[in-house]
Amino acid sequence: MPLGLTVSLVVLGVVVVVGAAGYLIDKSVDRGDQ
Amino acid sequence: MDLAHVHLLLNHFPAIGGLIAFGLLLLGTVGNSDDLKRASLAVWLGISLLTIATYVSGNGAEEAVCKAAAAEDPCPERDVSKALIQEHESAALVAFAFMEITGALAWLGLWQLRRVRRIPGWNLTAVVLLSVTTLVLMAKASGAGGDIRHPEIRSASEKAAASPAAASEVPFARGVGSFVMRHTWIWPTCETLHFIGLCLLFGIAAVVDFRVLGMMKGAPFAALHRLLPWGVLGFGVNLVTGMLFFVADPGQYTHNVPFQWKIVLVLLAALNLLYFTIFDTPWLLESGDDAPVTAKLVAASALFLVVGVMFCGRMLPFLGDSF
Repeated sequence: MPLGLTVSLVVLGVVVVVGAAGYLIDKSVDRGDQ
Repeated sequence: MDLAHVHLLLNHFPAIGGLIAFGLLLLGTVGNSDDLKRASLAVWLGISLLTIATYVSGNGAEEAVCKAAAAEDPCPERDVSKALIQEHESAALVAFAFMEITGALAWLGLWQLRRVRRIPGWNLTAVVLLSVTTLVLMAKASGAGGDIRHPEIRSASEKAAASPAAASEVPFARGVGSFVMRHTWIWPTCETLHFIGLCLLFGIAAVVDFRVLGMMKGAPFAALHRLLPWGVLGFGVNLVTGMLFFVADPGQYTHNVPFQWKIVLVLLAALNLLYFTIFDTPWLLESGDDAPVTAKLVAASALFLVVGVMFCGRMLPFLGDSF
């Protein structure tokens, strides 16, 4: 696989995973928020 | 004081500090005390930060005890085994990874305790399980570190591991390092992610700190507090990618002065975050409130520290000699 495509796909994958983690953490406080 | 002194000074904190934090966690869980649980989580976070400095000072300590002319050469000193040093490095890298995950979940627990007044069961269970695993791995890494300079306490298997024949096996940490160096896509990928993590971290820090300093007074602090996990996720991305750089080529960072300052500033900036997570003063800032001077000083120092981290990172090849 070309270098640029590999880098782009891995970066995109990590950003999606971190984004999903942040979203889930944020949602986890909705019901119990002070 | 050189890096060997720093490593010797710091290397007892992960194991002993971890034991203290675990003891507090058990007492807090058995006695159902949120104060003890909070203290335990704060100690775990502090120890996980100190472990970063402990790990990165290890290569300087290696150079002090093993003056081999080339990286692949055996140590010329009697009783100092390269194989045992590399075994210690590998055990330390695994223990380090678990320690940082424990620290991250400990911070999340502190954030949740402030936010929803309790630590969710899943988080507490995860921290307990990770604490036990981290302590076992840290004990293994500490034991391997002690064997390097103390042949009198080596077991039969450790004596075998110290033999030149064992040195021919590629140890885990060096394997990770050569994996990063062998694949051309890993370094640019990590650089890109390092900058994304940096933007996330600095963006959140700037918004929170500017509010405390007196801008956007219409926003209550509690609303901005909700953004903190995003900043910590950015820090996590930077820790993983930064450690991959370090493990791949520790020689270009160990004696680099901007790198040493960067680590000091990272630790101070991360401790600064604790103020905005658990202290009452910022949390009580309602819409329109002006923060007290102490909170403003902490916010200003946080901005200074984060900018300092970025400056030192950028100056690695210019004021230092990396790359």
